[in-house]
Amino acid sequence: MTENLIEIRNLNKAFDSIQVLKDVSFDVPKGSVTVIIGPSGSGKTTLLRSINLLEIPDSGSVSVGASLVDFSNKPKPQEIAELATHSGMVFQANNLFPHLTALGNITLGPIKAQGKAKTEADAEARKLIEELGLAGLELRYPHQLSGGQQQRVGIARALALKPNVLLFDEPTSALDPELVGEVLRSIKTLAQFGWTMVIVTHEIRFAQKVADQVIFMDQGEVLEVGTPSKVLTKSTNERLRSFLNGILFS
Amino acid sequence: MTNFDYGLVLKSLWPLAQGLIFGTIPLTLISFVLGLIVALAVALARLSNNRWFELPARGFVSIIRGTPLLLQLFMVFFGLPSLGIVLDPWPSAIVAFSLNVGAYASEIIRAAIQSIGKGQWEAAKTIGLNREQTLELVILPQAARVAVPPLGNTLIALVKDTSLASVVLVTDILRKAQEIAAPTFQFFLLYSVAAVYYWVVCFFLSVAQKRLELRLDRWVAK
Repeated sequence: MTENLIEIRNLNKAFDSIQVLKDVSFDVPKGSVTVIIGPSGSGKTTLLRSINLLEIPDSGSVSVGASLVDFSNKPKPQEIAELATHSGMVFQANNLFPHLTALGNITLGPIKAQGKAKTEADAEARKLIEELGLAGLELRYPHQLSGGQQQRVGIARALALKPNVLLFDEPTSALDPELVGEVLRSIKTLAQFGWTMVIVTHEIRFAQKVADQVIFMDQGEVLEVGTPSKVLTKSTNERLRSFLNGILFS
Repeated sequence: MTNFDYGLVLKSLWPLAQGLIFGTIPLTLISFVLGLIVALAVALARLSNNRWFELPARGFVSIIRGTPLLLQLFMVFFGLPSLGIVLDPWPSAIVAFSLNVGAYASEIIRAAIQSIGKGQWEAAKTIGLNREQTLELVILPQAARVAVPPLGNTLIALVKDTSLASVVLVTDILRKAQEIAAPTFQFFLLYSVAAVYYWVVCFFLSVAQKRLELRLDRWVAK
């Protein structure tokens, strides 16, 4: 048995009167890739954002690495910040800092939050830039990059902090179709390097190939958890079947 | 009709320039810089979730924007001595103009900060920056681009508003013009010279604003 890097227990979250997470629990083993799928509004993005506490659940607990936050009491800001340091996040809309170059985006966290020397942070960032196929683009501003390149800078920015887990919130949904492949390939490479990742996506074929575990959510509930073949091909869950049919034959 | 004494125009050029260089311009610059500091503090107070910061900030903006600048100047120069606070003309003018600019510019800065999307705050959080670092390194540099045109407006308005200081005995360009015009009755000529000086200063400020905008534009998508 590999140890779990993430343990989510009985999470509940409501926005106003709408219950977006209903008693959600699951584990993410170290070094594994978990893909969360489900119709829009099913709570998958909220769940992902609960792992680095961009959303604070109403009850339940989240543990990442050695940090655990229990939401039965109001968590302290230090607890939240502590837990958040374990994860890096890649956003659907990339949220790059438009006033900084690619290199500036990647090194801001290491220099300002982790206190690294600029030369060291630069050297590490250049290595990441190389690995993600962005060589030569270090001094471009985000608006001078294609959508796929921007998203890979976003991945490098998250990686630069050397987090324990990488969270992806629909990383290809805002991209032109021809740019989706390059981003998915980068994520696949990271999986091969053994990064622990949790990915919210609609790319079912990608999930089939890369995921160790697939989670299907609908209306705030986790309805299926298991290997891609179990969830994506063998499940008999009615709502999952109709969701997959909708996606695969659209 | 008065006979225009054009020789007086030539003779007034340097005294009026002195009023500009030693009065109007430093008064404007000092008040603007102090005003921006006040504005940033007020804007942050208004955006804070703490009522004890937010309410006084809101009250301050409301009072300053709801009363005439000339009254504010009189209050500092003629009013405060009743409370035992006696300020010279220059400090009085600087206090009044700084507070006035501070209130107006705080709304500009607040709007500029709020125009930066929530995603930028979140991205900064996920790379471990705290609130102060996020403001300094991520939000304010972007908000600056948004705030420059309206702040340029405020600065240009202030150049001309400082003429009010002449009524509390600050020797600015307008006061110089009055001093020269009064004994000779050449008001039209002297005020014309002063007007040209004001216009030239504002023209150069507009040019500087345009250049600053272009500089800040280098990372904005065209």
